[in-house]
Amino acid sequence: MLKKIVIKILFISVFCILVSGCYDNYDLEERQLCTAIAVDYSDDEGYEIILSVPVSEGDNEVGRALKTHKGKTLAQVINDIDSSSSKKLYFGHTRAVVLGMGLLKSERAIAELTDYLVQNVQIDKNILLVAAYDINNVMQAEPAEDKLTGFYISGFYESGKEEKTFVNKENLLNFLKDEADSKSAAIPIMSVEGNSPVFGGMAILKGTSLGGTLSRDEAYGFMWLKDMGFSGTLSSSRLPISADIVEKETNYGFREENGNIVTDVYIKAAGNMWNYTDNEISTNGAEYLEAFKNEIEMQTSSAIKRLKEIDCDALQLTEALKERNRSLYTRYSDLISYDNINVNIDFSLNLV
Amino acid sequence: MYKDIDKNIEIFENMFTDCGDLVKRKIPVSSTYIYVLYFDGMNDRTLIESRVLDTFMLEIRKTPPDKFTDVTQALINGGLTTADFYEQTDFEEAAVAVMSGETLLIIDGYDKAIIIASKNYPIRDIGQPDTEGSIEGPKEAFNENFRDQTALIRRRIRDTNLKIKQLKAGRRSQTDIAVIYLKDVCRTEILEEALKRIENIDIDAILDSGYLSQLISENEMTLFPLLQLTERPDKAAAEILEGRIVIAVDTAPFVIILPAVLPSFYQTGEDYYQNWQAASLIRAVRYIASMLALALPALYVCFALYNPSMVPAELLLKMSFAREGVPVSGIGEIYLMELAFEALREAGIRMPSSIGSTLGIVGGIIIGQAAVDAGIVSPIVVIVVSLTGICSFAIPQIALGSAYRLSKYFLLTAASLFGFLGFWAAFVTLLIHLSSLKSFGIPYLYPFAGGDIKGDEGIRDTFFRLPPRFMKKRPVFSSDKQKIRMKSE
Amino acid sequence: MYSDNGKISARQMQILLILDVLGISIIVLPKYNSSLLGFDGILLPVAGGVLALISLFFICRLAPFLGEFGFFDGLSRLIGRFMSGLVSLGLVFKLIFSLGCGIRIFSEAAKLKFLPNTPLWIISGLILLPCLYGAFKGYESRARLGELLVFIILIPFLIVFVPRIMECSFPSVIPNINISKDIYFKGSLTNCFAFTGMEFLLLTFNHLNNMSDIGKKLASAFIFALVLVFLVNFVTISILGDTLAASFDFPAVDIMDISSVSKGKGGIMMSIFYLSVVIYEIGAIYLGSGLFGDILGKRRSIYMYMAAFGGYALSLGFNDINSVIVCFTKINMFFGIAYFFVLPIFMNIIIKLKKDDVYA
Repeated sequence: MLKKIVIKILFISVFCILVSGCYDNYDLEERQLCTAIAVDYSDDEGYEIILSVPVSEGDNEVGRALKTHKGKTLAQVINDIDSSSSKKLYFGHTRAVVLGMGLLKSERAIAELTDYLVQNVQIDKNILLVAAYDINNVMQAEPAEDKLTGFYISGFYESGKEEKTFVNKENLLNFLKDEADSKSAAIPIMSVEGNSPVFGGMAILKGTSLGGTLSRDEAYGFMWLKDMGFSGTLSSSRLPISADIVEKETNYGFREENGNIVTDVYIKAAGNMWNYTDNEISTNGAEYLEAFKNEIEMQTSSAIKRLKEIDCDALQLTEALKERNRSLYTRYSDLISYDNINVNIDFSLNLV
Repeated sequence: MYKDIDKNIEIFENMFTDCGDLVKRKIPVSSTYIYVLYFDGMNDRTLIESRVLDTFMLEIRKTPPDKFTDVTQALINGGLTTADFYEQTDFEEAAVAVMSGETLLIIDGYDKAIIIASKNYPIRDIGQPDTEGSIEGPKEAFNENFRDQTALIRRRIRDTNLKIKQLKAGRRSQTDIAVIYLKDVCRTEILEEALKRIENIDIDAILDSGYLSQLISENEMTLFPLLQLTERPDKAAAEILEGRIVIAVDTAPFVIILPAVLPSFYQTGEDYYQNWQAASLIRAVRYIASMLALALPALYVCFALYNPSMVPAELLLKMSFAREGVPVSGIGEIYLMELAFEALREAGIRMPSSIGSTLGIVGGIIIGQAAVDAGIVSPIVVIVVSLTGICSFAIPQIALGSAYRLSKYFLLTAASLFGFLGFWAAFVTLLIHLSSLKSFGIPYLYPFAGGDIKGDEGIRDTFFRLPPRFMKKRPVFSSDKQKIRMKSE
Repeated sequence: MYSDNGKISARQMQILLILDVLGISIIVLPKYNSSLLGFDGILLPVAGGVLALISLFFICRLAPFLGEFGFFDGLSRLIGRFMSGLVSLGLVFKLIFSLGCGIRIFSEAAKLKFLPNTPLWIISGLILLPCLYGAFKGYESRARLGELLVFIILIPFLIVFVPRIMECSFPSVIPNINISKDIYFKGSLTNCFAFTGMEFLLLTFNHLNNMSDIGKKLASAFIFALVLVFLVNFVTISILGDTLAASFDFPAVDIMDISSVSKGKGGIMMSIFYLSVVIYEIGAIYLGSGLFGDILGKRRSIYMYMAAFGGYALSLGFNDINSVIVCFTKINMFFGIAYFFVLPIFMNIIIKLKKDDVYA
């Protein structure tokens, strides 16, 4: 008797569970993929969100459409987005988030947005963050090779193919980590010149809102100084020449001097210069080397100067100190200053 | 049996009333009478006529009756010019022998019936294996004749330890069953258990080895075959040499191999005839194919409907555009195609072979091209379903293939309802089920699970087939005293 | 017959121990450790592991005794049926409680990663049903399941966590000596008790077919599991940083999300952890109901339903994931001390004192 009841209960529970499935099942055509999101904010008008979604243009051709939504609060805009289409927006393939300068200036808006991005499980935590002076401009750009907005933005950072400059990328997770660790983060700025994306400097966050921006040259200096690898082309402002950077390493050394911490930055880099004979300036390459060194020096010093003005630890020297010299860190962690930075450049040039 | 021939005749004639195919005759021979009884068409008529009746009716009659001191003995020892006969006193047993194709001979004044072995019913010749074809290796397959089956095996193992134990099962069919094993190699406890289970069978008829395998299997509720069937004598002989037991059933072209574990269904005879690299590759392909046959539609549902982030964006866009305007839901689409595939497959088996091939082409075109063109299903679903179908045919044993095919629907349903979580829940349930199964006490997943035996080499003959010198030991089925099959040089 | 029903080999027991230890600890510990001690939480699993090894030493010394009499009957010989019943009931409660917590923690993770719109009670039920089925199939079947799943479970470790060691900053492992010893000790104990499945050993020695060297074998298995837990904890805290690791609900799962091999597939990878949770929960249902049956004198299948339903009801009783973890650590602290340390040591002492009476 008891066994029969148990079997009945079990059957009913299995049945209940089975008939109650499919809550999260969406057919492919019911999902609206979104390849890139752009968000801007102003105190008067609230949020502006632009979504780039792929649309079918007949036989296997993929086109794209931009959807703009505005609203006072983020929740309102998201609600608006959800109700505006019969399809369910899907962020699983979103490649990039473009942040407007207005948004970066507002502490609350950044916090609200990053919180939304983290909470949304569909969004990859490695998603690219890009800053832009004008989000409309970046979203509307349509380079010939990639029609889908998110793809060309991520493509730009992946190969650095545009303009052959070296670029720095920032993703959501690193951004959160940088903010948590050093209360500062650097987001590359993307601008558009004639339908193609170009590197437009960097937005430096101080605390949790925009501290200031670096110009393109200052941003290069920042990248020389920061402990990270990159590749790209270095051009000289004095001579009409350029070199491919093939090797770059930045190391920090910390020492104590007169109650202050002095940071020694060692930059070791090597570049390849192609077809140098075409320029017919010199044959031994010494002038080129000097020119490139000067270029790097100029870029780093302007970066340090600008970072000093912004007054935040965007290079994350405190973290580096913590890793490299624990005893100094425990005594001095507050005293790291951008006034006491010595830059040593070791640049070598291969003439190919 | 009685001494009085007429009494005996009366009993037999009562038993066999209204049997049109019965041949019976009472013949006076010398000073006595004999009575011959057999079924027409089931025995070797020339043997009876020329070797038995000929001598009785011609040779013996030449001698005057008073010359015999004992007519009966003279008839048996001098008259029967065949070695293969025996005496029977029980009416029932004698009747069974007659029905099996033997000839019954009764001599007046002798209280035993003589059964002369003369079975010769219409049988198929030894043909080529249909379901276990191979490129290399022997091309023989068992036929429906029980004696041919035992002969094909004995021919391959000329060892006095090869025992063929004959039993009968089925109250009405009285089917001959032979339990074939190597006495010193097989595990006694498994043999005893098998014999016990066969003896305990109480059913009216056993018409095929399929009947028997269901009746002696441990778990009749499972989808997975717990006993293996083969139509290849070389395979059967190889299994006997590994210590397994083969059961041949008269009228069935497949013999049963027991015990069976999951990896044994992936082994074919050909694996051991080729070089080990080729065999290993094909083994691995079989395992992968069976996983796909089991899980591909379910995984497709998980990826496409629940976690599209796993699908590359470009492909996802194509898939999504292809589905625009398709009237059936993504899950319905897959079920629909699976149903069509099953129907096509069933029709292909039933159709005469000349129409069958046409059906394959027509079905392929209709289901593949036309359905996609008409926008009823999306192309990717056709690919998924047909790939699943192809993979299910790459599993060498049909029984296992159909187990996977049925389990596929279980996984597919779970995945349709709950995506990846449902898939894993169903998959784990399936694994729990598989790990709870045993075939004659051997864990079904041996040697992947439960193969924790010191010095066991079972794993070397699973995903890969290693060269013979790495497989010097017999697997778990063999007795502990006879583990070595190849001696070290 | 070739294999005895209900008996498992030493290797199977090792594998089960590994899976049981991994089950909940890899999901819970990184968050707990980083929120308790920040970067210093990296070393806590090691400290907890040392404590657990001490406990394992005492438990394994009981192996011959428990193997002969079983837990309830064995304990009855030492302290009488009534007291033994009480202690066993406590253990049953601990098993059911861990079952409920395990289901809830995993359901939350699954809801977050796979099925955000599906109600929690359905997800919990879905997770529980295969476990109940597995419990019905017995302990031997669970052991064989473990042998299969251990290979699947190693996949995320091999392709996600091991390659990421390179990205970790090793100096951050150096402990900060300023933190109070009390917090360290508390954290170590919590880590030790989060290694669920150690208590199963008390109940499973009578399923073991070969006792030789079982202590060494189990210790090596435990150390292997400990290495894996440490790896997950280290990589997670080191890569996410202490603040983020503490603020995410399931940091170990997020690590898989951002790894280059499994980018965006963290949910899929996480589902592999489901397998070790299943193994743990089959054990909890089977052993909990079995022990309950022993107390009442007869093992019945209805107790399995009761155990599963108890765990299910308990799992739905919590407010949110944080309250589960708080409850889990607090209640485990009490039961852990009782069943990991006090009981085994106590039993060892009594057996030593009245050896002849006990075995009579």
